[in-house]
Formats: sequence, C-alpha cells, structure tokens
Amino acid sequence: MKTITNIFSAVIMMIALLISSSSFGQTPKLTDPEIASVAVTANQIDINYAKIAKEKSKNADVLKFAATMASDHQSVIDQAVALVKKLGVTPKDNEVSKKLNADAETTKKMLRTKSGNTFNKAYIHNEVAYHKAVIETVQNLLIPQAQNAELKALLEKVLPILKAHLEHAEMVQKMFAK
Amino acid sequence: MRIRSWGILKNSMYILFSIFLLCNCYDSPKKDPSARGAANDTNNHIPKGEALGIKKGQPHVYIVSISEMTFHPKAIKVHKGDTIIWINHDLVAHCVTEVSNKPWTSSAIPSGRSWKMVVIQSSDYYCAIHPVMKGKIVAE
Repeated sequence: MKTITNIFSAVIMMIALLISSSSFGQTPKLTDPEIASVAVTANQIDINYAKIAKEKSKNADVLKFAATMASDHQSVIDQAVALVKKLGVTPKDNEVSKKLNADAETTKKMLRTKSGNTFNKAYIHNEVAYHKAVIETVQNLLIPQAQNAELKALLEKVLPILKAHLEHAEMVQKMFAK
Repeated sequence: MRIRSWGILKNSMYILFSIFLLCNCYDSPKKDPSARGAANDTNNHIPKGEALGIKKGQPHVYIVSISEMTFHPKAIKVHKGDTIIWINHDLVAHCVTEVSNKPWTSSAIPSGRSWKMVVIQSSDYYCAIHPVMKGKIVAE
C-alpha cells in the first residue's frame, strides 16, 4: 500500500514538474493550438485508463466511476474538437502533451500488471493523483496562457468537472481504505 | 394652545399618511419568469425558487439549473403538485435520482437538455453519474 502511495506521489510530482521551472528550464509557453492538444491528450489519457478498468475490474463502484470518466472526458474532447474546428485551429503536439503521453504509457503498463483488489486500489489511486495534476495544469498553465476567449471559457467550464471527478475518486478511494 | 396642539396633530397625521402611501406605492420585487432558480443555498434557509406562469391556486413550475457540477438551488421548497424542471447547462450528462430506495430517476439528462417532474413528496436526490452532486426538495 505504501509502495502504491509512493508511486502515485511520484506521478503527481512528475506531472507537477511539467509546469515548474525545473522540468523545462522555465514554465512552458503554449500557443492556443498547443493548449488544445494538451486538453485533448489529457482527456484521452483518462479515457484509456477507464478502458483498462473496464477490462480488469469487477468492482461495481470502480466500474461506475470508470464509465463516468470515459463518458465525461469524451464529452469534453467532443466540445474541444468542435471548438478548434470552429476556430480553424489544428491542435499542435508539444512538450507538455508528449510528456503526458509518455507518463501515461508507464502508468498503463503498471496498471496492466495488477489484478483484483490490487488493481482497483492502483486504478483509483492513479485517478486521484492524475486529476490533482490535471487540475493544477488546467488552472495554472492552460487557462492563464489561453489567448482565445472561447478556448479559455471552455477550459474554465472543464475545471469544475475535473474537481467533481477528483471528489468522486477520493470517495471511491475511501471505500478501499476501510 | 389648543389650536397649536391641533396643528401639530394635523401635521403628524399628514406625515403618517404620506409614509403609508409611500409604503403601499413601493412595489415588491417581481419574480422574473426567465430567471433560474435562486442560488441562495444555506442549511438554514431554503429558497422558494422562481415560479413560472404564476396564477393563484394553480401549481407552480420551478427551475433547478445544473451548472458547474452543482444543482442551483441545492435545496428548493415547493408545494405538492408543483413541477420542477432541471436544466443541464454543463458539458457533461447528469441525472436526478432519489437517494433512498431510488423510487424515481430522470435517467441521463444530456448537456443542454432538461427533465421535469411533478413533486408528490419531499426528497433528497443526487446525480447518480456524479454522486458528489446532491440536492433536496422540500414539499409542503
């Protein structure tokens, strides 16, 4: 249990470092197409985690949570794609989205090695850590740097969704702590 | 002396009558039919919500807005037979489901859509998709 907590603390640190000066020399400066790419990537990563949960878990609370993640993050992606289409913007890959994808690959490999209740705990611990990190990124990196008002408004609308997901994940996490 | 007292009394009556007129001329704030439900959510005060199509003796229609992953207002006081319309302003789907024994549920309300219900009793409800979202209906 302690090991799992340590792994996820490390994940939070790694993602938090994305927006700190120590990772890239300075806070990354993102254009709107790059911000759109980070937003879509971050949502897609959580959909992929949910797919693994659907394959591996038999726990009703975990499966319900994963279904909500898959559905909600897909809705956000759909809105983001509709907006970039409207604005005539093509999401552009960048250092933040690449780092998110690289870290997600490591996490997915780790999740696939687990089964039963160990998987459930690992999945939900990751969801708590991941949502904390994404909230931090959206709040302190993406929203402040977004230039287009509609893109900024969309990110601001996504923030309460991420916060509710975090609260939900923590609620499920508490069930496993009993 | 008597005449002076009568003058004072007459002036006082004028003042009182003017205050009375002022009080009656002031129109209390009207309910805006297009307004969303009141967002004054506290444990001590349950807002009445904003009624639509108000006619004396007829059931009222109230709106609960769903935005930023919260029901607005979180608690609403209505009469039995009144209707509540939940409107989903969020990007994601929500639902409205009774907490205990789940005797009623809206099923999923997609983004931009609404669902209505005639209130027959007080209920605590939540969004079964996002269980951290909770609301309350107090039926009088």
